[in-house]
Amino acid sequence: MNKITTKGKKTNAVKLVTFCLSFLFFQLNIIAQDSAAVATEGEVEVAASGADLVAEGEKLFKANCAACHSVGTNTVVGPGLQGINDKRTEEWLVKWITNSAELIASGDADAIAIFEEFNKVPMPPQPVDEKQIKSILAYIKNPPVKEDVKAGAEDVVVEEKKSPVTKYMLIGVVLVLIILVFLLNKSRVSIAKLVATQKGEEFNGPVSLVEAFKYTCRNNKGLVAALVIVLFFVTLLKLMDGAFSVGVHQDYMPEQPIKFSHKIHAGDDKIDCNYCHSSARHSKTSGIPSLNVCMNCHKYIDGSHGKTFMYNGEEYSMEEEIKKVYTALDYDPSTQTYGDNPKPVKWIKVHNLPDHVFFSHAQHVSVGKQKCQTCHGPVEEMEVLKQQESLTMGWCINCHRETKVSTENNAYYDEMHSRMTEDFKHQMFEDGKITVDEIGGLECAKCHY
Amino acid sequence: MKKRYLNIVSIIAVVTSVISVTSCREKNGLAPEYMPDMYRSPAIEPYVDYADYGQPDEMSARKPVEGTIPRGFTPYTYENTPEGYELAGQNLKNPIAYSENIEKQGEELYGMFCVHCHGKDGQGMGSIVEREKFPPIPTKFSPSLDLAEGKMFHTITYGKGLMGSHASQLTQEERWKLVHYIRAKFMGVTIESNVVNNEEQPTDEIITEVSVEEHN
Repeated sequence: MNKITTKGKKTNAVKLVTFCLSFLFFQLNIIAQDSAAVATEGEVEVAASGADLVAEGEKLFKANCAACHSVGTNTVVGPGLQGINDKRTEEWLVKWITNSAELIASGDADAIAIFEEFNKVPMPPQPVDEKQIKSILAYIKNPPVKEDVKAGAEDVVVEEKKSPVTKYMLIGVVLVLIILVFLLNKSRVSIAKLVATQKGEEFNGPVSLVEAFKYTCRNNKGLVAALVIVLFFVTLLKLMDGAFSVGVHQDYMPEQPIKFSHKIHAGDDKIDCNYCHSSARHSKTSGIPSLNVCMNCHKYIDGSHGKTFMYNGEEYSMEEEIKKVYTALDYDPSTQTYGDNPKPVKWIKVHNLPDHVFFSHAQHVSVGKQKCQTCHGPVEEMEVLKQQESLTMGWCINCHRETKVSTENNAYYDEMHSRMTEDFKHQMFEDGKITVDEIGGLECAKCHY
Repeated sequence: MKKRYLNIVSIIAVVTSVISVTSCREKNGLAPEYMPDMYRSPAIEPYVDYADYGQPDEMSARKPVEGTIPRGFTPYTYENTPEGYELAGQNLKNPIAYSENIEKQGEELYGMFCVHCHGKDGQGMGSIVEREKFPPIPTKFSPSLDLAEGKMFHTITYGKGLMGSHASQLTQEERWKLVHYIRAKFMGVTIESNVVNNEEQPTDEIITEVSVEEHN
């Protein structure tokens, strides 16, 4: 008992001490936490004002400066601005940005030097005040590093590619079946021989596979006849199908030397077809754009952000593909100069009409006001350009029969239209519309001459 | 008996050959061609690489002979320099008279050639700017923008700043139509220009600036 009580007392004492200690710790903890909280709050405030300044600067830079300057060292139109804070005083920069011409006129040596260096192309005065310039400079000093994002990675649907495994499996199965046929035939013969010897007769049935085949045919004449008839018609159909596919390159989808994605340019960026294929409005051909058209945008967009894109189920680096344009032009992006050794890009022609048919893009685009997609399909959704339609004569004729001629606001038809309304009123307007075939769109010599 | 067996064998042979013909595509994914010389002429067609047809180094897309001038083309004499830009602004006048029809054609062209950068409202926020591929366009078309039509034509012809030359995509006439549209729609100015030779009477022209009601 005694022992127990002392033990109990001891435990009580321990409890008291631990309680006191823990209370102390708790208090200390609270104090520590408080001071920590104060410290972080202060830091956050400082960081926030800095980040705000940089964010504000970034916004202003993108709106006012980015068209001509980069925050790196590369020249866009004017010089790259990395390290400008150390190179020039803030006072000088404010003067230059608000009115560079005045600074040059005042005879400032630095100002004149930079003006001469950039072929006397003046920097236009910018609508920013001193405070805004400060935030822009803060941004140039510490441009936030952005994470690389895969372009369009979310909306890429990974298509299942035909794996070669299934092909090999099929060959394997066929081989096994052939071996099985041989083995079965052998066992059949040996069983038949065994039966014959047991019965005391001599085996005189078919032995080889060919003999067995003949034997079966002889005994199933009706089946053979039916098979022959079916095969005859299948062959006929296949032959007709095959004849119709001669020269029809529907679904032709070659990979181009530069992995140009129409989905990105026409679909996502919403650049009009005519921007690049500008001769479609004037000429027989739609025109594969010359590389100077690419350079209208890709002088600036060089893919150095490291993004990738999908083309024919594979991932490509934008930078590498844009570099191919630079190489073909013998263009040096660091100095923005063109060399004298350009090489043509060997684009592969996808839509090819036979030589014996005349087709003019201008006629269909400018006069007929047809959308490109009518004949080329949804190009803006294609990564790799594909021949969507068959481009056969039947396909042409069908469209000429169905398409209504848009005579409104179309000076090309003014004369023709007025004559038609008088002379062929009954013929043309029974169905209330004029289609291409009614104005001669089915004449042989319109396309074949 | 032997005859029938032969028949069956021949049918199988025909079927397999037909299937192999119909399912075959040439290595580059093209369908088979019967008499390809009807499809591919020895006369050079645009955009065909003749190396594949036994005529190596036969490139159809070529530069015209030096000094070639397209039909209806008047040589542009202002140089691609800051001085040329200023001179064009002072002297160059729109040879096409303004009309609503011209403005309409200009609108169509604007939708093809300008809108993805300059935006539908001319404020420099086109589709590729919005996707942050291109920086916002510094030139914002507005009635307060002091920009001579000659300067606009000069800029479309040679490019300025980040904008590249659009001379290969737009004819001179189309460039002037665009200038008409941009001025009428965004800058509220139409110029009843006289159809004259710009080179001969550069500065003495009287320009009537008529501001039109807001087009919406």
